[in-house]
Amino acid sequence: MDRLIERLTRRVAQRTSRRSFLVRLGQLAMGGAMLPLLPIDRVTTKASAQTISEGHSSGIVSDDDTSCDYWRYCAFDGFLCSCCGGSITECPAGTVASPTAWVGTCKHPGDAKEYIVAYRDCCGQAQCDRCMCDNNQGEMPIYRTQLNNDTVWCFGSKEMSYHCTTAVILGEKA
Amino acid sequence: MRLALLPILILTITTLASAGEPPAPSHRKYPPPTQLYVMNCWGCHQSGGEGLPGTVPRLKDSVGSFLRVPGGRQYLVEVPGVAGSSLSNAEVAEVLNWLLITFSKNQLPPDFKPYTEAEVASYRPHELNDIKTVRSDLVAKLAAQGIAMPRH
Repeated sequence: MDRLIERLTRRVAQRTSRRSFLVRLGQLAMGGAMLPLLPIDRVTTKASAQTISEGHSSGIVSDDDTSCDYWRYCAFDGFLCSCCGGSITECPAGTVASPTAWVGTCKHPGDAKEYIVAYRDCCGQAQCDRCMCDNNQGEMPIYRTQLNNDTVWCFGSKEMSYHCTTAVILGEKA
Repeated sequence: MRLALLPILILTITTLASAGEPPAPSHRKYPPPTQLYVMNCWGCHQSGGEGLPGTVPRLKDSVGSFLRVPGGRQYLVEVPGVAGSSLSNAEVAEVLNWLLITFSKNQLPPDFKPYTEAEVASYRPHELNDIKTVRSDLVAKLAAQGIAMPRH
């Protein structure tokens, strides 16, 4: 039974984006009603009320790296490893860092400079299901694969099961 | 340890602890061609152009060889990761020249001519439909010259 579930999970992880999977699961579980899937309410202003279900950045800057409003998460689509037993730069135990990464840029609120950020997935376990963020600054549709953050970026890893994502600063953008 | 240094030390340690990341303090700046590579290619082709066997083509000690056979210069512009990128033709020329010299200088032909914006523009509209066959043909031509290419 475990093997069957593992195979099904992998097949789903390989063929669906994180967001579409969650949407479909939510619809099935709630009989078609779209309800928040995550326990964390990120509403900080009236304007951000529409972003409850997927933890979009409200535009309010936070210095908390378990919040979708953290500046480095401006193009983050997935589960925060800082909520999943890892940290903003390290994978949780039992997962492996993907050898591939999606690269974006985010503006630091303190110095107004842009920084190059590598969003690297941690792979090898079922998805974390905590702290889901869906921010897409600078992200491109799937036909620009290297700039798309919807796909699972575990390719190159031995495991394609997506667990969570880290966000590492590579440097300051010139 | 002075408390003021603690955040910098923590940032450095956590940065270095992440597998596969280039070592850098947070304020590292890359020269323009390097930045183009970091932002558009590095995520898959890796910091040293190593690629991932079977998944991402190797550039290191390899990619320059394509310029030794007819069709090779065109091929490097037409591969999906280059032609389909959001880089301008000028930026494609810049980053191709950079990575050829940085990762594969020894494989370049003696009369290597850097790409120009105009040359990239002439190749880019052509769609590479059967990349596997085109690459195999180029690799076969290189093999006839005694040049072995990594499997991909």
